[in-house]
Formats: sequence, structure tokens, C-alpha cells
Amino acid sequence: MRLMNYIVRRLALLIPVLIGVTLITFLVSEAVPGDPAQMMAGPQANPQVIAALRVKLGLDKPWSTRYALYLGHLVKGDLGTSLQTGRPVTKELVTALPATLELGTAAVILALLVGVPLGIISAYRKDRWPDHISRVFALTGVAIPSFWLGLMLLLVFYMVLGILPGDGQLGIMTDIPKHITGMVAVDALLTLNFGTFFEALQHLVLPTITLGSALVGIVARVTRSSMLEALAQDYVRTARAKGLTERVVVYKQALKNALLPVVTVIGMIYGYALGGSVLVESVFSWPGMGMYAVRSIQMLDFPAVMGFTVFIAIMYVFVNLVVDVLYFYIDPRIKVN
Amino acid sequence: MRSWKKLLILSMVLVFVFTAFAAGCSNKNAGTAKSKDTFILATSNQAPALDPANASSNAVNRLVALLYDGLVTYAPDSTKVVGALADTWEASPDAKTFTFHIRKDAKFSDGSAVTADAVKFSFDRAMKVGKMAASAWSGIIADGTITVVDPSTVKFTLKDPTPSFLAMMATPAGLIVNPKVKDQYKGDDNGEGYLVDHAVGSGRYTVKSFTPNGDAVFVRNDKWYGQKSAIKNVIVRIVPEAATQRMMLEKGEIDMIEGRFLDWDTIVQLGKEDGITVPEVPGMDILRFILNSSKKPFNDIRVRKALAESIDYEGILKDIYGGHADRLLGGIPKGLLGYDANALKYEQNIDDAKKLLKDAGYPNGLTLELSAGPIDLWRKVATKVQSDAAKAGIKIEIREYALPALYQKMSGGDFAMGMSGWTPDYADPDYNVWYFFYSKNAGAGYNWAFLQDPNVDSLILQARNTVDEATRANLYKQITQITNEMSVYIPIAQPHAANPMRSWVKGYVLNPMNVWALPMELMSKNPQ
Repeated sequence: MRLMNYIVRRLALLIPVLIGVTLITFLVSEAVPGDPAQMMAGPQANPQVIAALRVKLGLDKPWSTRYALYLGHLVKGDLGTSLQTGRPVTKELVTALPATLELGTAAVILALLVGVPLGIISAYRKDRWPDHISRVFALTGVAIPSFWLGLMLLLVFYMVLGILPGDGQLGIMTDIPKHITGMVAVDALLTLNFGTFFEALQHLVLPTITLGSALVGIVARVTRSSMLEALAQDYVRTARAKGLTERVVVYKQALKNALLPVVTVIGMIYGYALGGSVLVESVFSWPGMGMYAVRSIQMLDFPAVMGFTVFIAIMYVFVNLVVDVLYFYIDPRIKVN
Repeated sequence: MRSWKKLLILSMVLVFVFTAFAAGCSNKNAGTAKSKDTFILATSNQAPALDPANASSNAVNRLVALLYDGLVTYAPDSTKVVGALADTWEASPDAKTFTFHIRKDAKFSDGSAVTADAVKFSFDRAMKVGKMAASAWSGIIADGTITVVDPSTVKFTLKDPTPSFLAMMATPAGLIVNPKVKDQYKGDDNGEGYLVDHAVGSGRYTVKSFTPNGDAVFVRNDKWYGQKSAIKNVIVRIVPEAATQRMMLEKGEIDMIEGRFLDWDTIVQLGKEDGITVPEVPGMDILRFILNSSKKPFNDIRVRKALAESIDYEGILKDIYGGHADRLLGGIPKGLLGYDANALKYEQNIDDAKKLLKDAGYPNGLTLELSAGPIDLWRKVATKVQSDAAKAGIKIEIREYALPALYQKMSGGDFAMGMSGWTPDYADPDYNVWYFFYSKNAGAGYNWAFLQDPNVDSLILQARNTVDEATRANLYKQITQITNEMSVYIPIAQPHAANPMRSWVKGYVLNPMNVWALPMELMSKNPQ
């Protein structure tokens, strides 16, 4: 029950977060020069058509009124209408979200699969060659611009070796599997369409490595420092003195205690993977929220930009809440209060 | 302990197994463009919807022109207006009344006949939607002046004589919509919601699938009245990154790239590769600098001329466009009526420019801001002009804005010097001249130079209402001469259009006006 209360209190925090995020985005979009009505009406537009559109879009009202209206709609889950397509922004974001979730999740899994072992090895062999190699690997992953890495991977694995596909979630002629979750690989698996599933996996490989490479470094460094701290604790020395095997000492004793900061970092990198996949999505023509955001910004589609920002803010709060809740299960010492 | 080694090996093996597993399934889709039934174009240019009443960009134009037909259209390789749904038409001598006769075999994709009522319905709907098409027609067609003479004859009575009407009718604003779309109206949306990803046209293709701002997959409409394309499917794939597009073309996974967003180095290199050809035509896209004549310093003609005389025009064409552009000689590009190859033009003359500046009261030169857009090619041209102008003592600070913001800035007159591209929507000089120079269009009407000249105004009005082509051409030449002398715009380049494609695509021709058009009925593929 106390946990439930905690979750409700955390969710209540969404309200000031959303007011802050929407207010800032709203004011920024107000400050940017550019009239969406004129853009929609086109170069031949006469003033009457533009004026009619301004009324239709509500642009003739003062910003404070429009902001209040926006908040009113937001409460009902309505993020407004895209100026470009005339469709509800919520619907468009929900369409684009699964692709980004799929890529982001794959990148986080990759980061954990590679980053955690790398971190453990680094800590265990501190200042020896495995640590140096791991450090170089981690720092390179963080330092390489994802845009460049994506293109290089494409050049090698798609262009020269020809073993992996280059763009999109599926081949150009492949039918998209029946929509269940919207994540192509997952839907293909659920509908037992293994051919499409393997194809979707192939398409995931290069973008996942590109997006995940920076995350690997972060996870590895956090795991390393947390493990180092754990390995220096008295209980580890006691465990060793008791004659426990190194395997038990490292995995059962030290790692369990070192995992908490890693769980925290998962929340962070998941948020990063969702919001930061913009460039990776562009390089690999991945039809997710990143591509949606870029296009909306270029076209001054303010409702769409606002919608994207709100969506990401909610995702961030939600992922971090999940992480915080996970603490209770990982570390019994942590209490709700 | 050796467990760390095991751990390392295990995690690496996992990653590699994943990669190899996925890769090992072999890429069955590689080379889908190698099917002769499917044509694939890659572009970064996204189309938000498929509604011809709001064909707001080249991306939308390309798609709606495959799904819908108009009464008339442009010939595949020129700006000559030819019949489409209408096989014959008559214009009154004063160019105020146009009567179109619809072909008897014209059918919408659902099999129903294209009638005069459908034509009237389409124009009425476009006006109600109130977007691009409404902007095109509202100044020309008054309410209730489209008359259904009989089921296959429709008459347009225009507000004023409009010799360019046929050229306008050949644009996507004139595409005809099946009135049955009314069944799909939701509230007062005029079917806009439905037409985002559906089509109710009589065009060469129908929609198989379309994602707003994503891929389009169209299949051939076998009920089309004309010569059907040999290619059954058309796919427009959104590939935002030019480098990815290039690799896909080189691998033969796509048939064509939209060249408009590539730099010339890439296009030239692609053209040298085996299996790739680059069709190229002089386009009607133009690039010019805009000088705000309503404000200091460019309210002084001497400063405008000084800037015009500081620029190395041939250098720009040679070094930045690699020779794939022609010198622009005013507001009317080569290929349109009234183009004047002998129009007054400026050449670089630094001494003269300095003298003009001195006479204008700037003996030590001046500093001004250039408002530019985030386009790589513009950046190159702006930097070159910056260094040229510095030689004459004009220090230019380049400031970049997002395109909508840039246009807003210029519309509001809040700039000294700006730059902009421009492509006419229909093949008539009036399209450019009217917006660039007519005094009432100053500001938001695209007369960004804020030119106010009664003499020019009267010539523009006279030209737009003159039916005789030779007389019109002469009037436009006069306008070019006068406005070049005033130097409120600095015309730079008329770049060529080029779309790199696989050599196995046959029959493709690039239309100089509609560089986006895919003349599918002429095209076939012979992939190796």
C-alpha cells in the first residue's frame, strides 16, 4: 500500500513537470518567427485564405488563451492536430512510438549485454590490460558521433560486405506484419511469421549497434566504479577469508550490491535512447519518433513538436519511476520513505 | 579465477551470434529494384498527405499526380500543355472563358465516369478546403462561375482575362476528385482526413499503402484510359540521409534518387559509375539575393548596384555548381515565355563598385547582414558572395534561419539582404513577375524587395491580361530590363535538375518544370 502511495505521489509530480515542459516549448515556439498558416497556404496564398486558416488554427487568439486551451486538451490526452497532416498528434506519435521503442530497447539490451560484463572485468582486473581495453572500448563508444558510426557501419556491412540491410525496419517489398504492438520484430514473432522476424532482426542490427555503442560505454563505466567500491568492502574480504570461491565472491556478493547504480543508469540511458535516436533514425531511415520530430521542427509544425516534447517528458518520468520501484525489489534495505 | 574470461567470451559470443544469425539469414530483399515490375524512388522529401487540394510541395505533387488526373497536363518533357481528362478545349479570344470536353472513356479508379459535375465538385471542394489549391484559384475563379454545360462539357468563366489559365490547370491544383469522397466526410472536414492516405482519382496508379511522411506504395490502375505503364508498382521510399540513398542506388536496391537534395559532387561521381546514369535538364528553379529596397542601405540604388558589381557570377557557376547551372538573368528563367538572353546583366567590377559606394556616402564601405537558410548549397554561394563583396568594402555577416523563419523575416521586411530559391508552380512568367515585382505583393505577397514602381505595376497588369503571345513576351522583356536596371534582386543561378538513376530504367524523361514528375506511362525496366 505504501508503495502504491509512493507511485501515486510520483505520478502527481508529472503535473508540474508537464506544465514546465509545455510552457517552455510553447513560449519557444511563440518566439520563433514563421507563420504556420502562411506555410500551409503556400506561396500563392492570398491574404483572405491565410486569414481564414489563422482563424481555423486558432492562431488569431493571444498565446495565453491558446496555452490554456492546450492544457485543457492535454488533460484529455489530446495533443492537438498536426498542421501538416491535419491528423491528431497523439495518433501520429502512437504510430511512430513502437519503432523508436523497438530500437531503443534493443540498444539498451545490447548496452547491458556488453557493458555490464565489460564493467565487471574492468573492476576485477583494475589497471591491468583487460581494464585498459575495456576503457578504450567504452570511451570510444561514447566519443564516436553516432551519425558517423552509422554511416561507417553501413559502408562496411551493407555496401562492401553486403551481409546486412541498410535502411528501414523491413525490406522494401516485405509486408508489415499484423499490427499488435507496432514493433515489427515483436509482431512478426507473435504472428509466428519467422521469415519476417529474422528480416526485422537483420534490419535492427546496425541501428542497434550505432545507438547502443554510446550506451555500452556509460554502462561499463558505471558498473566498473560500482564494482570497485563493492570489491573493497569488508564483506568481500570476509567472504574471501571464509574461503568462498572467487565466482561466488564476485557474482553473489559483490555484483548484487553493485547493481543498484547500474539499474539507475538503465533509466537514464533508456530515456537517452528514446529521445536521442534522432540522428540514428535519419541514417537508417527508421520511421520512429526521431524522424517525426525532425520533420515537425523543419516544418514549424508546433503542435507536433509540443506533442513530441510532452511525450518524451512523460516517458522519462515513467521510466525513472519504474527504475525507482525496481529498487525496492533489488535492495530490501530501501524503504518507501 | 578465469571466470571473467568466460564472461567476456560469453558476451562477445552472444553479440556475434546475434549478428551472424541475423546476417546469416541472407538479405533476401537485396535488389528488389531488380524486379522489372517495381520502380523505387528514394527521397528525403516527405509527403504529409495525398490530398490534391493541398498539394503543398514537390513530394506531394509527385504522388497526387500519379493518383489523380487533371483536365490538362504538361507534356512529359516540356511545358507544353496537352490534354488529360479533357481531350479538347476552347478558350475565348479574351482568355476569360475556357470550355473543356471530357473524354468519353475517362473513369475514376472505382469505375465510375469522370463527368463535368465531378470537375465542378473538385474545384468547389478545393475552395472549401481553403489550402494550396484554394490559394491558386481564389483570385481567378469567382464563386458559381463553373458551369456544367452537359455531362462531358464544363465551362470556366474567369474574373479577368487569364492567358496563363491552361498552364495553371495543368498543375496539381487542377486535379479532379471523385465526388463519392463525400461519403467519407467527417463533420465539416471536406474529406481531408480520409484523403490523407486514400485516393479517389482517375490517375495511373492507386494507393496500396501510404504512411504520412513515410513510404508510399502504389499499384497500377488498370482502368486508366491511356497507355498503361509497363511497371506495376511504384514505391517512394523515404530515406532521409543522402549517403544512405547513394549506397542504395549503387547496390541496385532502388532505381532513382531525387537529385534536388544532393550536391553536384555526388551527382557527378554517381554519373561516372557503371550501371548509373544521370538525366539532366535546365530546370526552372532559381537562386537569387533579395535586397530590401524599403530600408537603408539598399534604398539607395547605388548601394544595390555596388553589391551587384562586386560578385563573381561565373565563379559561382563554375566552382559551386560545377557548370551544372546557367546564369540567371532576371526574374524569368530560361524556358519561360519572355526570357531575354540579352537582358541587362552585371559583371564583377570592384573599382566601379567602390566608386558607387563612395558616391552613396560609404567611402569606407559598410557592414550588413545576410539572412540565409540552412541549405548547404546556399551556404556555399553565400560564403563566396561574402568574400567577393568584401573586396569592394561590403562586409557581409551571414545569419542562418530555418526556412519558414527566413520567409517570415523577409515577408515582414525585417532584413537588409536575403536569399531564396523559387520554382514557378506553373509554366508562365506571370507566376514569377507577379510575386517578385508587383507593388501590392510587397512583404507577405513575396515581393520581398519591397519594390514600389507604378510603371512596373502597369506593365505587369498589361502583360497578365494580354492574350497575344508575342506581345506578352515583349512586355515581360521590358519588365526584366527595368527591374534589372533597378537591381532590387541579384539574380544568381538557374541550376540544372538531375535525378541519378539505374541505367536499367528506360523511357524516363525529366520535365524541366515538374522535376518531381514520374512519367510512368513511358517508363519500363530492364534490370540485369
